[in-house]
Parts: sequence; C-alpha cells; structure tokens
Amino acid sequence: MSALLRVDGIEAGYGDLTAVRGASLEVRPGEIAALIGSNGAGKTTMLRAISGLLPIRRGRIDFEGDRLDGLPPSKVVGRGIAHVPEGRQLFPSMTVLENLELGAGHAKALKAESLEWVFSLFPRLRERRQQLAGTLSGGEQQMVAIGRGLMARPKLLMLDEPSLGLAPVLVRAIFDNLVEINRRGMAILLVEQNVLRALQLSHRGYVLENGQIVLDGPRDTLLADGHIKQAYLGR
Amino acid sequence: MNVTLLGQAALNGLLFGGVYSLMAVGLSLIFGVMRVINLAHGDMMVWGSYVAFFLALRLGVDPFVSFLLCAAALFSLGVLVQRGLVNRVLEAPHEMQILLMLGVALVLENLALVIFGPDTRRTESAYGLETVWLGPVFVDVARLMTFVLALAFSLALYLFLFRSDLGRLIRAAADNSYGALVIGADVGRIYTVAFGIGAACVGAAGALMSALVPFSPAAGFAQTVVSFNIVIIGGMGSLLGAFLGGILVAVAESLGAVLLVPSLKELVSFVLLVLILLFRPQGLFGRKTA
Repeated sequence: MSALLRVDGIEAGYGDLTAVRGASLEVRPGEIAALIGSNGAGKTTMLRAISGLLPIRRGRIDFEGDRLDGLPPSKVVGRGIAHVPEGRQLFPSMTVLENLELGAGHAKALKAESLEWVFSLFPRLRERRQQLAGTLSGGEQQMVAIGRGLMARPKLLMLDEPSLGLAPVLVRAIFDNLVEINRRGMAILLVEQNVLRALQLSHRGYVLENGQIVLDGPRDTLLADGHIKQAYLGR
Repeated sequence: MNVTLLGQAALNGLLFGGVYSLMAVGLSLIFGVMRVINLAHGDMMVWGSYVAFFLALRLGVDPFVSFLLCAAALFSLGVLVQRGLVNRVLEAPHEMQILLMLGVALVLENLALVIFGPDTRRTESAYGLETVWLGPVFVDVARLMTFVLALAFSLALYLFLFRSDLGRLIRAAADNSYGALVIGADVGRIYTVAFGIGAACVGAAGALMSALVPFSPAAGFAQTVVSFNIVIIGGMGSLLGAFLGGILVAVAESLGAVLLVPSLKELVSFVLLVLILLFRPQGLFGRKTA
C-alpha cells in the first residue's frame, strides 16, 4: 500500500541541538499511526518538521507522492495536513466559534458543513460557541484545538499529546473522538506519552528514542514487545 | 472657578479625545500583533499632519476630507518600515528593537526638518473658526468634526478587525502568533498589514489634529510619549483600553489645564500613569499576566 505521508531519514533541531537524527516513518491512508516515546525523544520536533514550522537539515518528506519539505506552514496546511499542537495554542481572547472558523483557512467553502461536523463530535462546543476560548476548561480547550484542526478538512490530522494534563475520563472521551474521526476516513498521526492508550487505538506505531525510530510495527506486535512493556508500560 | 468652565473643559477634552484614541489604538495594534513598540509613532503622526497641511495649502483639500488620504499615505509608509526594517528584528532582543525604532523616529523627524523647515504650522480648515452654542457651553465645530471622524475611523477599524477574515487573522496573530502559524496563516503578511494599519491610524489622527493644534517636526516625540502613556493606562494589548484611555487622558489633560495651569496639563496624564502603575499595573482594560 502506498503511503500518504512518508518521512525519510530526516534530521532536525534547534541551534546546536539535534533533536531528530535520521528518523523515518509513514502514515497510510485511513490509518491511525502512533508515534510514542518519552519526554524529549523528539516527537514534537518530528511534527513541527512535517508541518513546516521547523526546517529539516537532511532527509525528505513526501505527502501524496509530492515533496513537502521546504514548504511554509501555510502551504502544508493547504496540501491537507492539520496540526493540533502541544499546549493547544488556541486564541484565548477570541470566541470558540472564531477559533474554529479560523481553522477553516484553506477550506472556506466547506465551513458551514465542517462546523456542523465539529459540533456533532463535540456537542459541548456548540453550547459554548460564543464563550472566549481562554475561559474554557482544559478538556474543552483540547476539543477546540482538535475541532480547529478538523475545520481545515485535512487528509491527515496530526495531534501532539492531546491527553496532556487531562483527567482520565476526558482522555478516554478524546480518544473515542479520534476513533470516530478516523472512521470517516481521515488518517491520524498521534504523538503520545500515554503509550498504552495510544497504541490501543492505533493500527501501527513507531517508537522514538533519542531522535531515532528504534522500533515500529503493527499495534499487537508492539503491545507484545518486551522492550516496550519494560520501558513504557511498566510490566 | 465655576461649573460651566469645568463643563466646557471636559467637553473640549472629550472632543479632543478622539484623536488621542486613534493614536493610541494604532500604537496598541502594532504592539499587540508584533510586540514591537513603535517609537516613531509620533513622528509618523507629524508626517500625517504635513501631508494634510500641503494638501490644504496647494490643492485646497480640507483636512476633514484629506485625513483619509493621509491614512493611506501613512499606511504605505508603515508597510515600507515593516517590510524593510521591523521584519528583520522581530526575533531580536527588545533593546535592539527599541534602538531601531528610535532610529526610524530620528530619521523621520530630521527628514521633516530638512524638507519642511522648523516652522510651526497649522492646517487651514473651512471649519476652523466656527462654534455652536449648546446652552451655557460652546462647541468648537472643528473639534466636533475631529471627534466624529476619529470615532468613525475607529469604528471602521473595529468592523474590519471583528468582521473580516483578514481582521480576524490579525487578532488571532496578536492573541497567539504561534497558533496563527499552526493554522497556516501567512503571518508575515499579517504583520505587514497590521503595521500599515497602525501607521494609518496615527496618520489620520495627525491630519485631524493638524487643524486644531499647531505642529512642527519636533512635535513627534511628545506625541509618541502621549500615545505610549495612553496605551499603558488603557492596558497593553487592549484596543478598547487604548480607545477609552485616549478619551480619559484627553479629558484629564483638559481639566488639568483649567484647574492647574495650561502648561502643566501633561502633569495630569503622568500622574494618572503613576496611579495606574501603582494600583492597576495591567491597565484599565488589560488582562493580568500570570
């Protein structure tokens, strides 16, 4: 099967620091791929490199068979990749509705329909649509962040630690939402420290350690893997 | 001292407040979006005044009409300054940004001195000397026009920022520039437009004010200080704060001129500033930063 996104041996970092060194991964159409690893392994850097927020120093990135690296973030979004960043990065003094509509930048024609979809996924946001995003709870803010990404009608949705700082019941709800989003055919690249949960809902996974992919494979293989059990699942 | 005199002073201040608001809104917008303090703000204002002055002198265009042209001219200047200079120091430390903007201020001021000379000017307006009595107080028609037009300009800016796609993107970038990058906004273009609009505001203010108050190339720095003062009083990053702060400071200065002596009117706005910094450092409408 041909890949939707193919990341091939990329190197990226900040100043003298190299956070990702020769990492490769791919996301296939319609699947959920998990990128797991501990804090500081380079997961966020990978996503930023794919989004064009950070230039890569080596390697290449292709999306739907076309070169992606070197494009500015605005072009990457236009190609069909939405990034739901770590820390949500909402517009706190703007309303929920404004936050969502701003996400529709490249898919304005579908705005009304996308909004309806986001509200059906997250009914809470419909109630709160005139509320300022900065006044929402952490879980609601995460819903806005995901909703804002969906408004771009991407082919690939990339999420950076959507479970961070949320109560377990909310984490479960958000992950259920991701499965539902994926059922509509949208591919997802999920970055998580919450390894067990992330793998459980994914089709395949990659393990990033010190900026390198040390292990990859189908979910069940990874869940049964001795190294993963010992290092990430604590059993 | 009587009530009528105070009422007259308050009314004069209120009507003058429109231009103060416009100045401060321009400065606040630039700061809010780019976190750069436009220390050339007052000098840009003086350039707006000169454009209005010469349009009136050579072509007989009233400043209450030409202020739109002055806004357009200063928008262009703002775009040039942002693209050519400010863009290069966005990631630089604050002291470098301050030095650059001080440099721009010096160049604009001295360029005005070389081209227009040091003389104090005032733009002729057909409404310059008209007054209307309103019960016991009189309304200076030029001031009233200034107020109404500054208000209309601010309202147009409000509608642009809250109702148009580009305006929403500017507010989004001011709120969270990284977030704006993430959603695929062209942040470079947003910065350029925002700086241009900030300069257009102060250009319009300069044109309107040039019919009320004499100006010269040296007047710029004082206007920068007033604008900055208003923005801090109103609350950094709050456009509503800048707008209401402008009116508040203008009224306070006008009352101060009557209650104290006219030359001490700035004292009032600085006392206001000190009080705000002491008791409400985030400004009247600013948000507390954690």
